[in-house]
Amino acid sequence: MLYLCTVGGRTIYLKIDHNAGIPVSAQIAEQITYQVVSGTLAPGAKIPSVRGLASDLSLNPTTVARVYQQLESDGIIYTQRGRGTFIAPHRTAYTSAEQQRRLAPLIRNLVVEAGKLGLDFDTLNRLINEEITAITDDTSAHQNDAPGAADTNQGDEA
Amino acid sequence: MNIIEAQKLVRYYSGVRGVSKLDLTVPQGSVMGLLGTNGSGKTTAIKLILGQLVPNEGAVTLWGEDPLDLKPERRSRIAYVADEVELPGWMKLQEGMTLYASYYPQWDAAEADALIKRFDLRMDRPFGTLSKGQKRRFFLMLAVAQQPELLILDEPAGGLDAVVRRSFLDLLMELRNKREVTMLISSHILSDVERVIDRVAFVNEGRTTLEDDLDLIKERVKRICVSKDKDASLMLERFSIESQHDIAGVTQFNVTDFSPDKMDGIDGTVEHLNLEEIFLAYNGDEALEAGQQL
Repeated sequence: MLYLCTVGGRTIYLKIDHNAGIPVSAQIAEQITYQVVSGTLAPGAKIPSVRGLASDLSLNPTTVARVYQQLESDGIIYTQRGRGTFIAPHRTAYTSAEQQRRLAPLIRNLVVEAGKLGLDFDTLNRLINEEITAITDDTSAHQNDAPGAADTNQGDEA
Repeated sequence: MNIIEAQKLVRYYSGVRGVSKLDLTVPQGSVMGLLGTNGSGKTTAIKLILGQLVPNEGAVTLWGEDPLDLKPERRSRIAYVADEVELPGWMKLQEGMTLYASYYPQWDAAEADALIKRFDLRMDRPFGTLSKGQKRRFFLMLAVAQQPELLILDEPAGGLDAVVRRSFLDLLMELRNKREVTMLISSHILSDVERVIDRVAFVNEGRTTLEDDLDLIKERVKRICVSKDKDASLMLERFSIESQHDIAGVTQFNVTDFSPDKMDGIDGTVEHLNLEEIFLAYNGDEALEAGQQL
């Protein structure tokens, strides 16, 4: 199911598969994180209240509260008492060594999985580069936006 | 606040246990799925909660009170749609609705009209001429127009085709989100209720075998496949295992306390399980033995 919601003046789509084995809260946290990394959601953008988002997504507020807890502990969002919840500024909380330590197991899994499927590593490299290009294209597209601009740039590049 | 709390309920039917050690907690505003195979004790559990049956042991409360002591105003805010309900065959739907509405001072006639249109109910027809699906839609319309705070549905989707089931579920989601109706839904069609519920209780042979938020259950219950003895013994050491199967040299473990860091040093693949697969991991063997259908 595809849902529309407004975050920081921008309309974003969230795709939720209720019949998947991945918890709904994890599905949403992952998509919001992607939108932040790609720049669709800029630092400082206000995100809806737990109740507001729960109603937009037809979910129980406890599920959305779990999403926000997860995002907050990951440093993606922060809450200011009485003002609301916002996208956090880009983080440099981790040293480069720590960043690499956290990524290492994921990269190892990726390489093992590719090997298992018999994919040659040049192709794997190409796929990774394509993914990086996709997310940075998004980022640069959004950096040109005026702050608070409506969501009109979708498909511009195409 | 918990709307329903049931602790260690036991109820015998002519010497046989219909329900044994059933626990259930339904917080305000949540939608609880009471899930089990046919004959697992779901309907008995609902009757105990409503006070239609008295438990032999254990206790149940609604809004913190014994169901038998509920004040009439409170009781009128509980709507119950049973699996099999009938009106006299000659009675017209309009007459049935007038009768039902007379019991509920808070009856919402505008809501009833809207649902009659939405469900395409012909109110001048006698009850006896309705199909099973039409009867269910009629009773759900009554339950919603009653403006309940607690809605209990026993097998709401049973015998309905996919289109009607979908419109039914959409209505339930509206009720949950716009009016914060607390719901208890018993069902054995798991993929349907998976969209609506946020809490789950599995009932097996009258017992609650698992009860928690659906999201937390999906986080913790996983299937892990390993092929080496070394990894299999690490699995047994680190995880609590609900069931396991050996297939062609691969051992599948259904674990109930998964966390990614516990996989350190284990060479295995982790599979996510949806509600139906989780249910089978808990109840599969028994259900197959009993020759029951999911």
